[in-house]
Amino acid sequence: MTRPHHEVRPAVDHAAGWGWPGLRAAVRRLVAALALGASSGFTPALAASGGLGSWSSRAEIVGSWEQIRPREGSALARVAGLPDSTSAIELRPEVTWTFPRTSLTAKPRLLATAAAGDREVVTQLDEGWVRLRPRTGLSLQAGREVLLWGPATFWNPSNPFFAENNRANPQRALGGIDLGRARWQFNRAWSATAIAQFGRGRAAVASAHRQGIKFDWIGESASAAFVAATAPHERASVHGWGQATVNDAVIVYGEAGWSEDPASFFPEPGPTPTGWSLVVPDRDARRIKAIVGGAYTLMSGATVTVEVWRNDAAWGGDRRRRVAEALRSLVRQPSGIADRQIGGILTTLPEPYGRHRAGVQFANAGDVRTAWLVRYTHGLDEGGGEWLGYLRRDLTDALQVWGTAAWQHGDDRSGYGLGVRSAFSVGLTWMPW
Amino acid sequence: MLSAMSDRFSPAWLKVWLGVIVGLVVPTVQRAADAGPTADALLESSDRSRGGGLPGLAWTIEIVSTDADGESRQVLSAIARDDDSRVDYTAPEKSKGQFVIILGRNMWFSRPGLRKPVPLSPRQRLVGEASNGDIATTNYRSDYRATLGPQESIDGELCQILELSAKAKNVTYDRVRYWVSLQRGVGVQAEFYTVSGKLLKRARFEYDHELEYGGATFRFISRMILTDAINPADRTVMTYRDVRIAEPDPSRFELVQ
Repeated sequence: MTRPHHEVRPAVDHAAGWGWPGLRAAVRRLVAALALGASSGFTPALAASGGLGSWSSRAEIVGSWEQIRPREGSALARVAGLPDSTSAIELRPEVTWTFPRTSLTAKPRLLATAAAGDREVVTQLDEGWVRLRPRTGLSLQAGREVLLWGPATFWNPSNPFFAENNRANPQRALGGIDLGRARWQFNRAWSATAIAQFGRGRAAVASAHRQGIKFDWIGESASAAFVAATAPHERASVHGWGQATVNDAVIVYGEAGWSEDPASFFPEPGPTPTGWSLVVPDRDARRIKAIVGGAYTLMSGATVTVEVWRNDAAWGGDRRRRVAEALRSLVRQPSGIADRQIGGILTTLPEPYGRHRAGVQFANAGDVRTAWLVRYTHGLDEGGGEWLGYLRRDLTDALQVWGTAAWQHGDDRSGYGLGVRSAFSVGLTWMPW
Repeated sequence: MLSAMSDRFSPAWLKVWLGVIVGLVVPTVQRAADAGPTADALLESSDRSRGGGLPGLAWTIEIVSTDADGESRQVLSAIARDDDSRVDYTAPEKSKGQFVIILGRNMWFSRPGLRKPVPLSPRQRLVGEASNGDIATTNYRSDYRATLGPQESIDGELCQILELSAKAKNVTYDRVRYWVSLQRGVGVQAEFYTVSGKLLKRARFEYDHELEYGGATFRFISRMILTDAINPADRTVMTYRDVRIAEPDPSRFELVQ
């Protein structure tokens, strides 16, 4: 069932590179067809883009201080070398030039951090793209983008491109992946989007070259989407989501994906100096990842969200116990091979780690002077959980103060007991224009 | 049998039939003419002056709200098409980049940090001094059943009161009491009620804009003044600017931006 670490290679050697050999070609053909279909409108689009167009911009300067308390003696604290506290200041400008049928958007970042005596300044492009609207209903876009979709709050298995949805701390900026996409709106209800990723960009995603096609439907009180995607050395996957407005206060929804297990390092007892070998379990099937949930809005506008999810690609009881046992053993050993093995296990753990989880969130309405959010996530198989709170107060129309706090509980068999005990951050966000 | 029928349609019988028909129909027609326009006709006319029934609309809205915390100002850029609309927040700085998309009864909200549009329930349309339901165009004719109430003068202008009850459970307000000017065919005043029958807010409407569509010129909303029913000191003034009829590009309603 498993192979030694040094033999690690794709579990399934797809000679054609794809589980469904025709899908990749079909996506390419669709992108080409949409581009070709647009070509007659492309030249006039550029011609119509004469002059300097109009532009809009906004900017944020975010200053923050974060303190992380690792779990005493935890594997994560040992290999990650987590500092006690980190101070950061980040400039986040955002500029968009708009011409009649073309627009350019750039979101560069300048980030300065100080932690444990080390100071670092980095510049990066979180997002930036060019968008063409050569004809009514058609849009073509290329560049770096945070591509998110799906109605669920805690997890989005309907999105094969992005796992992170940034709902826990909206002050944190996400980096995009490099992609091109073509979207055709057939009518009010139906649209299709072809997506071709050509780089990881600024995001920690599994593949640099994923392609997909997405069909969206929007009805009078409901909406849904179907997604098919492929990536090199992976079987093709299918995903989807749906949501319905039940009455004036209740929305119900679900998301699902049927995809191959992530490539993970799994510890097995072996004749190595540490007593453990890392192997990659065969990824012999696609597995279900699904989440269902609902949201109820109180008369005050505050909303309670409850979600339950299942991740068949995560590890079950025996495997979770084996991982916990290996980490406990490795943490007690001298640095060197043990550190590398701990790092290998932690960085490839399936996310979410447990197979069954539930979450509840209580948050007030979005556009208010004081915004707050409380959420709790619980591991249904292994126990443990995480409390998270977020509070933001508008001091003026351009200045906000905010804070986040997270606290995890559970033993090392649960995903919550592997590293961080608590984290706390406060910050000021100033929007000069 | 034939002779019996010919007797029934003899000139003498025809006179009797005509008398009966005239006696029944004329008073009905007279009553209809006296009653003035129907509730549907009034709604159609008043909807058009608030963006309903047009192929598409674009406008800028300035919202100034006054409450216990002081005064706040927001500027929004909106596009609308039938029951669909998109509202982009352009001021103040803290609101820049936020947008709301309403497609039928579906509604999503997004802001720069969030990135992914969050689905909202219709009840969240009620939140805020000027709720998202107020910002969107008005299609009362398709959303509400209307019955004629009494007539009443507002500032010397004779108005027909329309009692509107929601056709579906997921519209912004469950019940609306709507004063429509009989002379101008525009909504002059409204009261908005919740499902439980509680009065939420009152609105007054002003129509200083003129638009042209289908060869006709008509008055269009320029200001809406909303007053909270519980705290009348909480007041919101919505001023409409740069109003133009324009069918929006469907890609503007795209959820992934």
